Amino acid sequence: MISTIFTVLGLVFILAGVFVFFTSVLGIFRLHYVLNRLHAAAVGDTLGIFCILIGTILMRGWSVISFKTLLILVFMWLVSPVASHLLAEMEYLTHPDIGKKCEVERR
Amino acid sequence: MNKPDEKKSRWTRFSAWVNGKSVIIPEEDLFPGGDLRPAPGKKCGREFCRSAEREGERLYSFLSGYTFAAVVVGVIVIGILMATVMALPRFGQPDNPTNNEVSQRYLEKGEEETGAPNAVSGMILNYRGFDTFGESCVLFLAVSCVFMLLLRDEKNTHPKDLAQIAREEAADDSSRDVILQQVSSMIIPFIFLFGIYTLLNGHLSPGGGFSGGSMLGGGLILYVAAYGSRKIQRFFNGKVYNIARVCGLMLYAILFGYYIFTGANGLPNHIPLSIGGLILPIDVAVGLVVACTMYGFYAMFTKGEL
Repeated sequence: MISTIFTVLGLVFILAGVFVFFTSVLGIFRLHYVLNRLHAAAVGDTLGIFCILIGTILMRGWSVISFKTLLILVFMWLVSPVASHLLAEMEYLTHPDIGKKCEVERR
Repeated sequence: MNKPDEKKSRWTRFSAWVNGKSVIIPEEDLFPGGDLRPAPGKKCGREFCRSAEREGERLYSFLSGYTFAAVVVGVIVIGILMATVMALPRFGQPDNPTNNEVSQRYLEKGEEETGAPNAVSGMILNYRGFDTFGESCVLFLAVSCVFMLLLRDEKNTHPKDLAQIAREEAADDSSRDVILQQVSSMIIPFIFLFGIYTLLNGHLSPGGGFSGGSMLGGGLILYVAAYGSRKIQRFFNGKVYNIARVCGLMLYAILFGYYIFTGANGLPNHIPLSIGGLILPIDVAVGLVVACTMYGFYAMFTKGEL
């Protein structure tokens, strides 16, 4: 009974993750400006990977492999926003007239 | 250059014609230091001009001979390769050398002969150790060539450029990214730990010298990107870098040479097979070379010095 519930929950999480990744890929292709596309990609890297990895953990049960999956999740959540931040900062520093594209706070 | 055309042979004239100009040596190539060249306003002395001209002609004749030799060597190598292709067995025959008993023996006897439960590690580091040694040499040579081309120090760079680099470095140091620094301080120890784990566990589990070395190199690159190259020079400057690079390759060469000369099964008598025999120290050596290669490429292409 309990394993069935966990399997169903995991399936729901994985489907949600697939949906998030779908929107993220759609955003990457649909949007045109760098920062917008960065936002779309970052959604997939954080929320999408969270949903899919939690789903696999729930379906798999608690084991060493689930613990490693959790470590992957922690690593991705630490690293992916920083990478997005660095890309955005590089765009901010190198774009000649970023003020026309979006509202910038001068430092 | 007074009438250099008369002195040229037919071949040099032909190659100059192919290149589209008669004199191909620009001034910058003759005086790479920049200090030797006279200032633009000043007239250069007669002695200096004559010696420079002679030097240019010598270089020019050397270059044309070089082209000829390159063509000859290329034709010979192509001929050898073509002859080898002729001697290859037909494609897809069941008794071809690729289908012989060697691969089966690797899988069946690999663990007891090399001491590595990971069959891939045992194969690439023990049975085919010379191949991996060649790969390590390729990495070593590649990073050495990049050093030759891109290294900037006081011997081959104008002092103005060096001062400019130092100014940019100081400006970068004053505005390092805080978010990157905080996250790096959290994850860099774990990257190094996991890299060393992969390096030392290569004979037991997936991993080994190449993957572990690339993790170590990636950790070094992240450290430099977050904290600047002045911080990393406290423990990893050019001298340490060169020592690690050369020691890795030398360790591999000495160990594998000893292994071969003692009959290719001699070393397991001294290092017991239960801890992997020869695989573990060779993994460490390969890891050193790979990590130094990755970090060297990054340092050369971003800044030009270690």
